[in-house]
Amino acid sequence: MFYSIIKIIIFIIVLLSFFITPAIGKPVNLKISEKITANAEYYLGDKTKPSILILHGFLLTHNFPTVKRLAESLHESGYNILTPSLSLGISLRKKSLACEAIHTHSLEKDVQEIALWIQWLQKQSATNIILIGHSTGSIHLAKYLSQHPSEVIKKIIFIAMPDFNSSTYSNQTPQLKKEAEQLLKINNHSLHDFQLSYCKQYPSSAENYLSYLQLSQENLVQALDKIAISKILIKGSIDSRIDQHWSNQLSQHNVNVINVNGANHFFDYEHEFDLLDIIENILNEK
Amino acid sequence: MSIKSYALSFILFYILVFSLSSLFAYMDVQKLNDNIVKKNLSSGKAELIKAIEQLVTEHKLIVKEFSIWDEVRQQLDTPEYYSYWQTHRLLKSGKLPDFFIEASIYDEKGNTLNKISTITLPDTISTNNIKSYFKIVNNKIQLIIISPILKGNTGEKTDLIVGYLATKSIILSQLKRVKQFNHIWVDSIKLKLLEKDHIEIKQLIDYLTFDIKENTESIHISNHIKQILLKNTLILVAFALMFYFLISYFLSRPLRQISNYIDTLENQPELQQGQDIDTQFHIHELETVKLSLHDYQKKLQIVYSNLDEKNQELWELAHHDALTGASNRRAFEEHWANISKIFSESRCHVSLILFDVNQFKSINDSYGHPIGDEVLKKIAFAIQKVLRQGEKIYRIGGDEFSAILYNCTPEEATLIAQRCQAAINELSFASENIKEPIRASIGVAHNDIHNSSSISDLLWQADIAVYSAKKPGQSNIVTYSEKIKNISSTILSTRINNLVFDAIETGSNIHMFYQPIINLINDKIDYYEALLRIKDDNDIIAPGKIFQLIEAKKLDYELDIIIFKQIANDLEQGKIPSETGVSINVSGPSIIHSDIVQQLSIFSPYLNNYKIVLEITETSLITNIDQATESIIQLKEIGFLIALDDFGSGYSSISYLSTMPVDIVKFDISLIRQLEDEKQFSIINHLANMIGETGHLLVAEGIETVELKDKIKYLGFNYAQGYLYGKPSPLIKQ
Repeated sequence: MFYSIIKIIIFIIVLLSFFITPAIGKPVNLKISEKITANAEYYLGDKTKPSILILHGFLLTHNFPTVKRLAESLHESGYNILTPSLSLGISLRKKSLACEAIHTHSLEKDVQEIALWIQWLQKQSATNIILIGHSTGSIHLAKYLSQHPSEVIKKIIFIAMPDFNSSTYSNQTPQLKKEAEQLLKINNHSLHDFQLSYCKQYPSSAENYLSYLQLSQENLVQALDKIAISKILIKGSIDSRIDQHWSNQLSQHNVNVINVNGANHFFDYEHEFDLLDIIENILNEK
Repeated sequence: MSIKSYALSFILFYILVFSLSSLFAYMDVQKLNDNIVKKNLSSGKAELIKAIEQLVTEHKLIVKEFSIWDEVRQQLDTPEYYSYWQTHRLLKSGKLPDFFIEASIYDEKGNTLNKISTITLPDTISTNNIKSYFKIVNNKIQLIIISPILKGNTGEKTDLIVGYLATKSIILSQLKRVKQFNHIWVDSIKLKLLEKDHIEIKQLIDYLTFDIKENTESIHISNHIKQILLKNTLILVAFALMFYFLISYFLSRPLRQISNYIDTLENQPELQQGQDIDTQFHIHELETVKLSLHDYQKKLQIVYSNLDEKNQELWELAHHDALTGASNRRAFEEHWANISKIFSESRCHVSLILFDVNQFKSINDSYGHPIGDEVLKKIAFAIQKVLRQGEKIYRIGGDEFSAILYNCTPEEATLIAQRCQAAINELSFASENIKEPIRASIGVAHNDIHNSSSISDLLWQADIAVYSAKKPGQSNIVTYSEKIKNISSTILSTRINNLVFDAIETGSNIHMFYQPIINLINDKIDYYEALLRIKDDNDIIAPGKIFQLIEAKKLDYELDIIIFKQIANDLEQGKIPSETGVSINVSGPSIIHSDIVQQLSIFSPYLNNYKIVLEITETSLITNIDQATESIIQLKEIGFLIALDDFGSGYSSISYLSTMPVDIVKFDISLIRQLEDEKQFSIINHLANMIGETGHLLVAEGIETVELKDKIKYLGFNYAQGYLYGKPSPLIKQ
């Protein structure tokens, strides 16, 4: 009898599970240029709650798990979430761009796209915007916010923001930079195999390549300094891309560094919840 | 045909039928194999077509997946880096499997983004009809797939086409590597051509050759069936041979033995038991037949044995005289035939002795037959006692005996005859109350050892000798010699003998002559006397000779029967004039014969129209008057008239006439001739008157003159017969 009841209950639970739909973001396309259209997912939440823009890391998309999970979780908490994918020169890009692919994008174009998405959010009547970047996405947001300060943006949260040019994962070298600069000098816009971040082959024009080399510690710190709003860095204790020096530097430049013990660069496993709890706490702070 | 032949034929027929059915089965199996091969070929082809189609589909899916790759669309947006991407990125990206050897991107008009020398795909493609196809280059198949690139990157058909993607992939190696084939050998798939620009997807199969895998299962089954057929055939042959052997051993051999046994029985009915089939037959029925045959043979032997005994008895009965115990006439004739055969060529002496009891008829008549029989027994016994060892006495007639003596000189034979005579003479018949002495006439004949044919003459020689011995004044023992040869020309005449015997046996040479008998009242022919004549070529044998012979041979009855038939035949033919009649002579032995009434009944149909008179001599009447009287009474009742013939020729008593039931008395010619004498005339006159007064009609024979005729008329005779009225002559049909 007991087991029969258990069985019935399990059956009901399984049946109900078909009616519980996970939070699904609505695809949103945004024309960036004449040829390029960027895409994003927008999770419409409680209008009274802040809108949050979450930007993915280097060459990734909004479908990257760390971004996706965070967006869905925050949306469940009632937040309005926009997770754009940087086009990286490819219209309606769906997948992460390979290092070996032709890179026609530049830091400036990336920042421009972010600006357009912020505008798009504002058009959605967002008046309270919080920016969350993961990895290099944090750098892109910091760069954007330093260049386009806005009152509607209330907070910026960096998740595992690396030292783009100096971390152990960075493959760009002064020599490559030099070569790129020389190419640029002679106005050579052809593709060359460079190295950038974790990419050991990065076909790009010298100009575009050099745009990312701007993201030195110095330039980043300057950019951060230009940001007046609350800046929080959440880092995993075992994230090798953020060394203590960089962490300290950020702390010194008004970045509230929250360390999550045991978490890696992507806050996998149980640290996903730690990350969410921390962000929820941050968002709940006045 | 023998059973073995039948068995062999049956077995051969059975083998033939089975072989044919096996052959048909074998052919069916072959046909089935051919069908399987055809089906395999068809299946193989279908399998290959399906595999190609699957591979094409797979390649298309890969290409479709590839076409929605971000970097592909990137080339349409930024075609300036297409050459680099084509060279450095496209195939190295790993987005296309290594069997894709080329890919090219075209704008929405179908023009390649950049013409690259290493790319063999076309520079432009038709956007109106996007179709994948095959190409054969250097004996290799290349699949060219063209797929649209959609703007929205959604993969939906409604999406806008912003460009095209063409790929070139190799197929054959993929087919061989990826696809599993059940019906064809994958390594055998080959191209028929070296080069071909454009082949529709579905047409590729036409340019391929391949080998079909043999269906091992069906081959195995087929071989198995063939083996079964072969085994069955071998088993059948073995069984057939065994069957043939069994048939031969268990059926044919016993049947042959039985058949041989039956053949032996047929040739040797007296086969002894020791010669039976001694083999034990395995088949119960045959064993039963064998035992039955044996049993039958045993019973047959018993029957044969009994038959032998009966035959012996019969032989004894047939060859012995029941009365005297002596051998009979049949035994004598057989023995004589053998003697003739055996001694005709030898120089041995053979003698034949004939015994004839004198006056035996009188003894019989006087003392009765039982006494006569006793007389014969004693005489036979007496003669047998005298004869030497191995010699037998034969009773060859009523009172006639004979004996054949071998190696016996004439003198010895005569001596034996004399001893026989002495033995007879010494016989005493006191117990039979016979007072007068009983003697036998003995005739002896010897062969001439210098004349081989003389044996056959002994019979008639002895006959003549005994005939001679009976003559008065002769010795009772007469040995045949030339001197007595002519005693009886009749008896001697072999020719007459033969003619008479032939006449009796066959009726040949018999001619009936008829002499008219005149009614003296009106001088018209009243009837005719039928008289026998036997012709010897153109001569006629004298009737006296015939009757002498007939009497001597005692063939009276037989001769009478023949005569009756001849007369009846003449009556039938109408030779005898109507309103007359015929007078028939019936001998003494015939009138007392038990069948005489029946024999004479052949005249019954003529009795109404003819006067038929039976003439009987008085001597025949005297011999056995009771029997004769009985027959005469019966014949008279039928309608015959009875005449007493030759009245007055013998010494018959006139008293007989009163008791004899005769109608007519025929006076012998000797009496009629005596009418010339007056004394005799008176006696005859009285005799005629006396007989006439008793109601008898009188016939006078030998009337040759009118005077004589007048005399008899005067004497009261009713009928006259003689040359005056006509000689005996044949009658011709009126």
